Amino acid sequence: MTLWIARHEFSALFKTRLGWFMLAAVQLAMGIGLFFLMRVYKIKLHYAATLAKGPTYEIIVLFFALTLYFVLLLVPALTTWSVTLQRRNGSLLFLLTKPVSMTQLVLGKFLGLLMFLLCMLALMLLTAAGVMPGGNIDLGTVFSAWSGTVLAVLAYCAIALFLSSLTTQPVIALLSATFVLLFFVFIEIFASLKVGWIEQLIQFVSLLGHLDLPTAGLWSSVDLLYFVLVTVFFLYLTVLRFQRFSRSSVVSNAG
Amino acid sequence: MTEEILIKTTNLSYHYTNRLGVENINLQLQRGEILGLLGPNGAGKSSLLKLLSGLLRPTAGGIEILGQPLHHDTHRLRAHIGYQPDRNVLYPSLTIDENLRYALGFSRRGRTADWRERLEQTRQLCGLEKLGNRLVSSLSKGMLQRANLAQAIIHQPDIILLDEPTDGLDPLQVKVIRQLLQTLGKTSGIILSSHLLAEVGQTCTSLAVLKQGRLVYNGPAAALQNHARTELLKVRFETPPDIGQLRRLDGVSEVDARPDQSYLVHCRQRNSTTQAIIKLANQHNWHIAEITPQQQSLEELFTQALDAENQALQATDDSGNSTAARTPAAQRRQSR
Repeated sequence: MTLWIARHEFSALFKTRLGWFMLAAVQLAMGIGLFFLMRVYKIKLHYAATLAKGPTYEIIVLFFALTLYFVLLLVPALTTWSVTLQRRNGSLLFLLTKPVSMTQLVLGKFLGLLMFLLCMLALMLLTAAGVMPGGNIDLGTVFSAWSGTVLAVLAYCAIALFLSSLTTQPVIALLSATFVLLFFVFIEIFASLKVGWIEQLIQFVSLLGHLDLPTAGLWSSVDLLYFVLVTVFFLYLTVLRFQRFSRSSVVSNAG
Repeated sequence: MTEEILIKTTNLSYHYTNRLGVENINLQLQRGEILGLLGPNGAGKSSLLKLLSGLLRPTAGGIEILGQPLHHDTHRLRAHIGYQPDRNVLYPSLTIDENLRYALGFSRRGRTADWRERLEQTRQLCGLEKLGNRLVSSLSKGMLQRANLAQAIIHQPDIILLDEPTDGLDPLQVKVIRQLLQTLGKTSGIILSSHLLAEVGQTCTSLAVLKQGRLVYNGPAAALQNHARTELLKVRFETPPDIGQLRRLDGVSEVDARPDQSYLVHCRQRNSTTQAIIKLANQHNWHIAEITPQQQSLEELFTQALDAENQALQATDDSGNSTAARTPAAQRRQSR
């Protein structure tokens, strides 16, 4: 059932303008982004005989970091479509009346969106592959950075899915999910406060902080655990939220 | 042969945070039965259907589906239920076929080849033969209603719950749906909510009437129709009549003037009153432009039924005897 829902959610996205628009927007924006990263790299090379970090970091890793910021703005739109808008137009009620558990429903929606986002990230990988023939690229670092991006998107998706389930107002869902994702990404700024345990806590919560090692081509079990924990925690909250639909007037008021 | 009980509710209650949904509902649905759920807006019809479909959890009481408690294994038992809510639930960006295929996928019955056949059958049953490739967002209200009905019955459920299934349909489509329900009703149990007594009267084998979340009538369909004390006639004259004389006609209880220059005559019997009106019009040279029977709205029948019940109770209280208890509900109460 989970896969049936996921397959449907994935294909339904391609039946809307939203899905195609997002793919096109990401491809265009990131194409321009890659072009500028390459130009900057060339300028840097012009002034320095060698660059310490090389093209793998200067172009590809930064390209994936840029992708991560861009996708951050798109994920809330996807989850708003998948939950908030479907709750408003009644399509969620369609699923709630079918023989599926709330866990299957939430996982199905999550996997469907993830499949779409993976398509997007696969395209980014292909775009980045265009740089490879031109320089000495460390493939290990490329895949490590790409998999870091995938895990971060996994966490984005779970957080945004939960926030979209909290309201029936698309604008509120979109803004709140974007705001919370930005919080998770930019919380590292507050780590400069240097207040003992707060600094440690902030470093643990920060999403970008857990991508430092993967972008350098390394993976630690703590980073992996962080992304898995964040994803599972927010998916669990979403399941609880969906279960509340059947105990409240939400179903009757907004589908 | 014992009749199979598909749904059984016991003291079923549901309270919203700020209002009552339904209270102490005890009813049963058997295979082959078509139960009409009637009641004015806000009576709790939709809430009851949502409870029976497992969308809402009861505040108190229980629901058994095929002998098993619904809320112990809701999502498995939902495979036996087909539910059409009072609004569109189909994906607007998909075609009817895509939506129906999606709905069918949840039933886990049969192979893909059987699905095609099932899809074809359901489209045919609901009059959607040539609309399979139409986007849901481009459908008219009537088509949308039929498509929503199709998603509820495509997996051949034992129990079919329909919330206002003929709302927005033209008379021809209503007839098609009525025939469809009668066909489905032979093998399944159906509960349908409606405002239209005529529709319910012609389709349903039994009725449940709700008022303010409580069940005020539960019994055969014919009994509620007999319960109606007056019938309606719409009369339009080319020349203004003397309403006083109309009111004094034998069997006429009330005459209401309407904004379109016509009159609504409340009478005991349509046929005799029609003849009496024609006779009176001929005597006074009032030219009749139109005289047509009118269906009473359910609210009117309810008002009559509930007024009668209230009067009966009042009379019982006043006189201390029970001779005034005439309504079925009052009679049942009395018999207890």
